[in-house]
Amino acid sequence: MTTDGPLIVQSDKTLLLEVDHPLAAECRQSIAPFAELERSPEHVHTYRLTPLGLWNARAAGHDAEQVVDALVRYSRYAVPHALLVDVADTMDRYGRLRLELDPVHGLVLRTTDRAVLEEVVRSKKVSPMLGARLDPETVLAFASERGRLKQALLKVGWPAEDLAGYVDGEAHEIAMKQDGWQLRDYQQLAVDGFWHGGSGVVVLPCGAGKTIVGAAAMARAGATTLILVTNTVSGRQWKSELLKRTSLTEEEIGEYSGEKKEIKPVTIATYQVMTTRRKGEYVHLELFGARDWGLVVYDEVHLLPAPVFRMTADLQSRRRLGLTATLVREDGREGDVFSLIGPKRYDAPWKDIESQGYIAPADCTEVRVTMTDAERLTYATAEPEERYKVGATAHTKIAVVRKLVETHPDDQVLVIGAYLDQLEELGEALDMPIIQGSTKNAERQRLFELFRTKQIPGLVVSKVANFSIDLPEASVAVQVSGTFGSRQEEAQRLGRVLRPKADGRTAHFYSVVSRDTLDQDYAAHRQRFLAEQGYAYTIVDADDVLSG
Amino acid sequence: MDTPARSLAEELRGWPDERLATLLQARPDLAAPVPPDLGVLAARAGVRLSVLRALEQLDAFSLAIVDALVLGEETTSLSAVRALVGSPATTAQVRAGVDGLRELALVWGPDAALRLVGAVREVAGAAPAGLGRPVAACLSRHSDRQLAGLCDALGLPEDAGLAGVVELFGDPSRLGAVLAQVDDKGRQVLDSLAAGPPLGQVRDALRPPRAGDEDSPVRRLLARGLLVPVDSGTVELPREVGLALRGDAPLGPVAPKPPRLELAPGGGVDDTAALAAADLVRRVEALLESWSAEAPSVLRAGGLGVRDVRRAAKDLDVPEGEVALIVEVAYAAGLLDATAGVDPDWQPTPAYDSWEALPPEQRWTALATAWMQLPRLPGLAGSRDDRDKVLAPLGPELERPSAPGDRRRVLETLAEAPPGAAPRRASLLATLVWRAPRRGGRLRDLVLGLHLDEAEALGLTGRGGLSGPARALLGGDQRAAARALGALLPDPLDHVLVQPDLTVVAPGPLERDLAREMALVADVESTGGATVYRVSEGSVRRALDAGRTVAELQELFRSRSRTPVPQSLSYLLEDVSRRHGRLRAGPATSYLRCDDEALLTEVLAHKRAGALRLRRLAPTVVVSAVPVNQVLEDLRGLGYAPAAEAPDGALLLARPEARRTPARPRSNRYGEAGALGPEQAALAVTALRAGDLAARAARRAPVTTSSTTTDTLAFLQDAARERRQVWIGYVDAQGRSTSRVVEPRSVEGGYVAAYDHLRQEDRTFSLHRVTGVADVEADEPVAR
Repeated sequence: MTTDGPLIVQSDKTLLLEVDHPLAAECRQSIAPFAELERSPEHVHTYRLTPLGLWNARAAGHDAEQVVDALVRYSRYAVPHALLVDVADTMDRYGRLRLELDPVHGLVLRTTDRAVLEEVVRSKKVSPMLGARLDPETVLAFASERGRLKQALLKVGWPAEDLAGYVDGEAHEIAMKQDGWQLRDYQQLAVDGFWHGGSGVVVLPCGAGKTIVGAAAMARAGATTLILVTNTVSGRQWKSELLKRTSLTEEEIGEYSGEKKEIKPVTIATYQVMTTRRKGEYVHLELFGARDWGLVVYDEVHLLPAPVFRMTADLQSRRRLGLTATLVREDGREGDVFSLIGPKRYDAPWKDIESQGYIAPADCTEVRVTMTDAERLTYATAEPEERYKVGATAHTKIAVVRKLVETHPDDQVLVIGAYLDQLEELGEALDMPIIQGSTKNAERQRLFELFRTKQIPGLVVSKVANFSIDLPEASVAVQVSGTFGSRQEEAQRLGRVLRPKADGRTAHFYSVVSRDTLDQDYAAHRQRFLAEQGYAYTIVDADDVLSG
Repeated sequence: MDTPARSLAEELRGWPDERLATLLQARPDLAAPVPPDLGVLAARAGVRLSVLRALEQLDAFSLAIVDALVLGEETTSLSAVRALVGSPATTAQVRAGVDGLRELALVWGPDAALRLVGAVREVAGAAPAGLGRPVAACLSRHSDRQLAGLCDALGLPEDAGLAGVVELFGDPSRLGAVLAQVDDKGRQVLDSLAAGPPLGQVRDALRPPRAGDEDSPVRRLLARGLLVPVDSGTVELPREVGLALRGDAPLGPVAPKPPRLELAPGGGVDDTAALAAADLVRRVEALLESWSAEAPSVLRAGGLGVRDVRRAAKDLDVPEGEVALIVEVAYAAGLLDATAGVDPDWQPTPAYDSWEALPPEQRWTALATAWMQLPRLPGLAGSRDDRDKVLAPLGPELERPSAPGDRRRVLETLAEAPPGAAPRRASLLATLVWRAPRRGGRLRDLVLGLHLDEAEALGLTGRGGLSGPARALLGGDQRAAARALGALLPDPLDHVLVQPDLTVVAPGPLERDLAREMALVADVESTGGATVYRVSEGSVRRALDAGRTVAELQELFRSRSRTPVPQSLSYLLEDVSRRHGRLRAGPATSYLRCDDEALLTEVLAHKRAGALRLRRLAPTVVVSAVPVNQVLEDLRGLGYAPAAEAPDGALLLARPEARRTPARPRSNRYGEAGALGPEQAALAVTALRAGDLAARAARRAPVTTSSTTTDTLAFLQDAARERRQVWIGYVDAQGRSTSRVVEPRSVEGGYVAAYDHLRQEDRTFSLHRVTGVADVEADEPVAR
């Protein structure tokens, strides 16, 4: 009775796609609109059905029948009927309520289903944001609560479609400067999808050119824009891209950060600065009201801090564009992204991007080092807070790192670590300069230039340098100690370091780990994540490396 | 039969044996125990409880006929019944319905004089067919003044009184005239009450009419007696008015045939059912394996606690209601039971081990069959009873002896749809309700729904339609059911796909050995059509603890994975095995340590140290299996001077045991008042006849006081010669007098040898103890 399809639908709402199946590509295309890719190791990719995923599909125009059809057609075994009913019910909930702009009354909440409106009006969470009942299907909504209303409606399970339109904001001419380069197909589709929806999120994997998509959206809006980024380094990268790709000049782009406070037609601000508080007040909230912004761009929406969500709730009448590599957040606030920034308007096809060479899979190796007995004793007797550091900074690693660098004489190498004394040890042992937090910017630029022009074979960098956009491309990276950041940061760091090389050579990523310590445990976590993303991973013993 | 029977007993007497046997099979409570004679049988048939039971079996049409009979006189006729049923049914259908009631001994007598048995009238309910009481009964409590008012409103002479009103209401044309005067609003009120039930709420119904009442339609109806007050807040529509309003369907809407089963579109019945069946089998196994390691305790009142249910729901990833079903079905199939003694636990039985060895389709048939016969309602678990106590699965409150019969009925009705088709639930329920409206009481619809839900969860139905394997089970053929299911289930696979992120995907059900090995060396992450396992340090350690070697595990993955085994997995296996067993733990009752190694060696080597059972762990440490006091004593005896040490903590590791409990014998007396097989019914009939014969004879037996022994002797000898049945009165050794009907065979030596038909045995009677003899009446049929 098996139909021998490529997809297996599990009762816990995960979908297993066998990649080697002849129908796999077709199936992937079918399910991508509504299923979230959870992990993609080599042979079986795992997708998941979530309410948000289904609602995003509905917002994009897919209906339950299409989803059910896709599942049933490609499924190898019978699909549990309860699951299909659940999918249909969930999708059905989107759009029963609509936020509209009534010419007479202003913002209203309208419904096609009175029972739903009754339920919602009675709900304690939602009723404070609603006003008088205009007729059985319409109720007045407070314009200032537009964002919070959408959040609350999502929480009670009846997400509303926001059709209430946007203000255009202050016009400002921005044009794309496509000299010698062109907008890629999927980038154009992303902008179109976003514009058509009015507000929303565009999902692009690392390296797919989200800055360009942002720029193109700005050109389309032709209005003053506020861009929110994760940190100053990223902000500088945006500025340099905008200068390169659009008609904008230096005078038109302002930086609003810890160091500078410029408000210009296009202003780039960091999340850090927006969440700064003094005596309990958010000091820089006025930035949102400083100009009649026509577009607000949120970079790395999956890292949006919670206070910024609240601030965003008040920006609902402006167009909002979210850019991210994944909608999955560690803190589970995907719902807020959906309700406050908007549904997913475009999802870039990973495979196309991959096959066009925009992302390069790297060769990842973990080198396990056995500590000496003395080191193991120190580790065993260390305080719990100190343990990771003791394990990660074991002196035994130095020799291994040296050997690894020696095996790549023709490559530019980056050695990455988190602890200064270790970095100093490494710098001395490898005869490489060190870049850390205290290194002045000028010095950093100088060293980067030397590295770029291959005058020095390698750099030892601390985590501060990880996010530097100027970080030159390396073909070999050796990590000796890390910060336990989020998995997305992990992938991003990797992706940044491992851009595809002009000469097509393979990139190598080594992680040197002390055996039987916390270092190894965190490494296991990292290893699993990278393998889920499709990076091949091998584990090697340090002795084998040292013996050649 | 030429002369009509004068009682039910007489009528039953005239029935052929097969008809009696059928009656006993249809109403088995009448034969438990076998009544001594037909008179008693007839009496039992009219007893309230028995009538209730019988009515439960009737379908909606037959119940309508009963209503019609109740509405009629004590003795009514077939044509009167037919008239009451009216247009919805044909005469043939009405006749068939009445005959059906006759077969159940609820009605007797010829067509022209039908009579209801015993308690039927009172059991049928206060409002037969939704009609009120006759107006005579309604007005019985009215005062003369009230009646006078009524007569006045109806245009009758004042002194007509109750009789006059009754007469008017009894005449359809006069009543019709009164009704014609009622306005639209009033008519609406009357029609809604006529549809049933006949009672309505009115405020202050009993107050006498006063000025201004003419404006209210209800008051006008009250004034004319078309509505009669029952108490201060209720009014009733008298029967005659209801009948008049119903026109040619006096009983209201009557359905002589069951509603047709509407089929839902779409297929996938068998596939969906097979999926559910596979899931069920998998879940039962997973649950019992986990209880094998950690058994939940039995609640004091019996049953499974809420926390254990929640834990199981989480482990199996199913809703809590389904845990109850899984647990009950497993219990019914004998796979788990409570341990004996104080603090009992729920544990798997040895039967579980044999069940587990079967292929999945046979495992399922065992579970499904057990469910069909389960006299309990798992679906009620989790709800609260009247005292607001939560009903626990496996607890005593879930017993329902009627459940297996109900389930069979539900499944048989489902089987009426063509194979692969699914009836719509609403239509199915309508049919089931038509078949037995009185069965199940208040909870009827709820319970039917529960049965359907359980059938779906167990894989007997898919999308609401009966699956092929279930049809075979219904027919009693377990083998065919297993075969049918086996064809639907996907073939077990012999391979898995190992991924670089240390997950292992089994893209379908695995062969039993492979499944077991995988479950040992990896943890299940996701279940369904496929299973996703994750290999972790902990799971590898578990496999090594269970005795697998690294080489075996490496070979397992190498040989069974369709994808190349990632290096990270091989490395993990080696790594864990390297650390496995480096630490060793063992039991020791006491220890002995000494900084001087040589001294310790001396002690160990001492001839008489053997009793201490010493074992050297390290150069300076020795352990003993003997308590420390004894060690000290013995060592002192050997000439040493040991000192005792304060106790330290020591950790003992134990391997978890798979626990089992022997199944306890269960009583097999399931089911309702045990169904009667055909042979048993026939035997019962025979006994009944004989008893009847004896009873009748006993009633007519002469009281002989002066018959001499000689007369008796002569009489008996004659009877023996002619092979004639006679009645004898006898006093036995204890002085008890009995009377019986026997057929004498021989008379000699002061004894009569005779055959007793009732007890079907030869007996010898002492002649001097016979108190009297008489002929059995010639026209009595003789039971053989």
